[in-house]
Amino acid sequence: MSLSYEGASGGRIAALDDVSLSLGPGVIGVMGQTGSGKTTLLEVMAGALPPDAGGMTFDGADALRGDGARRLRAAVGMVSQIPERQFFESTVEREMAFGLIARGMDADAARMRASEALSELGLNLDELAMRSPFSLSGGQQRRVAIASVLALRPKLLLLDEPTAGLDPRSRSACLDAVRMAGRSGATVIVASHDANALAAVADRVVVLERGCVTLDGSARELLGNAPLMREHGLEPACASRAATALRRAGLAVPGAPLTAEELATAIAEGRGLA
Amino acid sequence: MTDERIVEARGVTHAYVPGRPTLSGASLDVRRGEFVAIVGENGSGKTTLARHLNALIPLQAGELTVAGIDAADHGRVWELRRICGMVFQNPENQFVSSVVGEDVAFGPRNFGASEGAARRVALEALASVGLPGFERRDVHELSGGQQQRVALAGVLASEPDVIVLDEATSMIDPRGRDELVAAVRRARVERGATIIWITHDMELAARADRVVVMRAGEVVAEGAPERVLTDRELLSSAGLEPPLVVRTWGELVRRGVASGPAPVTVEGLVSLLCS
Amino acid sequence: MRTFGGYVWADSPLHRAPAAAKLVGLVVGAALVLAVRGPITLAAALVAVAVLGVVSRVGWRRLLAPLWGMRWFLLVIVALNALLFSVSEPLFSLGPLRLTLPGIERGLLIAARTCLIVVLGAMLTATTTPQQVVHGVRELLKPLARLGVPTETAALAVGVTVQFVPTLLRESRQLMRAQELRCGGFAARGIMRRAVSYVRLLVPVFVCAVRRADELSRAMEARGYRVDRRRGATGERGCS
Repeated sequence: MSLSYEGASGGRIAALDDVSLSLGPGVIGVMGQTGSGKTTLLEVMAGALPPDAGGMTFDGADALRGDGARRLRAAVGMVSQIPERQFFESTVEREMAFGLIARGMDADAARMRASEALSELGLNLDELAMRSPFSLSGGQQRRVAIASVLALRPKLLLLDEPTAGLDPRSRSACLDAVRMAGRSGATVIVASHDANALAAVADRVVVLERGCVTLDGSARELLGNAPLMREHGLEPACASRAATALRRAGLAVPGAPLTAEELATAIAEGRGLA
Repeated sequence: MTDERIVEARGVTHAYVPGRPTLSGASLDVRRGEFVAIVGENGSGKTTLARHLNALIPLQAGELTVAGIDAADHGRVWELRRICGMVFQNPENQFVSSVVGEDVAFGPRNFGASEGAARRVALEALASVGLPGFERRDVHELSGGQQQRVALAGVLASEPDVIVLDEATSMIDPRGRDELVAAVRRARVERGATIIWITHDMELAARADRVVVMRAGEVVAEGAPERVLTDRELLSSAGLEPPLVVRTWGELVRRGVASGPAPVTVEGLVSLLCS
Repeated sequence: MRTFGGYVWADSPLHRAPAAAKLVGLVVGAALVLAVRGPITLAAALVAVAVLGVVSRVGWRRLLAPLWGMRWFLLVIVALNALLFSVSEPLFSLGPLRLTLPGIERGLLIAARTCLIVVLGAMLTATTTPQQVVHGVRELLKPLARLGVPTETAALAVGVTVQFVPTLLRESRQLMRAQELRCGGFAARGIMRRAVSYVRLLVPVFVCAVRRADELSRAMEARGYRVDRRRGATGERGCS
């Protein structure tokens, strides 16, 4: 798959260059610096941007045209960057119902779905239903925006920097919901700079650099390898950074820890070994 | 750092909507040259407190002085704004000119500097944030980290005593964040600037001299990072989580592998485990 | 097309001309286009714009793109004129609608003038960066400063607006795409449904613009800007 866009200079700049990926169920993290093509990749996968070259299949059908394209669009749910900017309805209830009703669901069923999705993000529809989405706090707005996509139960869920700018409570609510979506059998793709967030949810991580996939492996293999991440200009997970610093100071820290618990276990094991 | 208190806030209260205060009696002292991190959930009143420091919103109740200037004194608002500069969250929404040099010179010009002086301080400020020679560039062509450093230069050009950063790293990538942190650190060392940094980033807060925790419009705790960031109960009551190093140490203590007070930074962890 | 609202990087006499001259040129050009009456003057104006277009080396795609975006608007203009605004003998009538030959002519003329002015405008933005536009405005306003008109404030206002336009356009495009994705490919077809979807877009775009303006004005205030500032007023409390 290759995609280029009209650059400021009037020339064509490749945003994605010969990217080949095949994705199954679970949570896949896409990392890369600003401008590496993460957002473009998500938009292509959502069927919102046709690639210049290459093909894309979804569920075995050509996803770029005809019936396959329609099926992709019906199955995809995209949470864009700062999704709360898209709010336009007067109440949270109507905001939540918008996508569902556009897909032909009746009001009662839509309300049920909305309520479920909000509770997955730690929010309560009964409390919020009549409030204006614009009156909520930043963290609540983001959670409502994500819930409005989760309510569609997409088979392919795409999230672009879902945790950027969130406080810890909203952040962990978002990450929990992402993890649950991945476990329910959907393919979830999370583009993020945040190695700690990806360490908490992703099974697999893909690294994009200037539109090319330069690394593709398990979350532990990549996020747990601080020197490798740094080499690619990315920030490693905090646990991995600490493990590397300890190793450099001469301590044995086995494995590739990604969380505080894993780091503690690794340190304890290292002590036992010494 | 000296003992001189550059910021003194007593019982600052503010309600955007009458009857629903965003700030309810917040008090805060900051010493000259200090680096203070303010942490708290969305809606805890951090940003409102910061806006008071710069006299962007009128003082409704309580007292606030910055470098001896009373924030309630309307005649001295401009002086206060020069003394206390602010870097905002969204880099794109704080530029008045798309030309870097023009934008940086905006503050000094407003504060009465001559054209030549404004240009000179703008160039100096750009060099001091690590962007020498950027004055003719277009701000929209810069990375997020570079944009925030231009914003910092725009503040530095007015030679402020206090720099307030309001979640200034939350919309930029880790590399940009590191660049901004380094530039702020340099401003502190070279100019002796007092830094007040509002952030959700606990690893950043761990590097401050003092951490201030806000909840529901009040300052509920403040102290050295080693004390505040290791207090799980306090942090969780404020909707926050201790840094990873502190959580790791907690696990180690629980398993009997380590004992004693927790470190708050990776370097602290290394030196405790290696000793 | 990323940041500059359509500036095309090229070298041409139009790119090199001073922005102030181009701004004046646009106003004069627009006035001349409005003076167009018959087919001969229209043809002359078309040729003149075409020559400028070639000289600008911008490319027709870029120059004509805004017209495609306005196609419905142009169609409405022609239709309204053709059907409503004429008293002469109708070719065809239905209730209040009277299709007349002079009406069609008039509609086409107005549409043609609009097109020509839009293309001239596109030529300006394609050959001039926003910074140059601001500089040009400042140059043009200079004589007014002597009369006590606050030209700095005006130039700043133009500058801030000009640099907001590309950001807002980019944001609208992103929002449009995001909104379409939320409908899950049940993208609106037909004029009525399309109109509804534009309204849906308007709210977020408006909210974004207001939020941006609010944040920017706060940032400007924080950096000591005040609208009533005049030379000397702040001098006593200056920083140097």
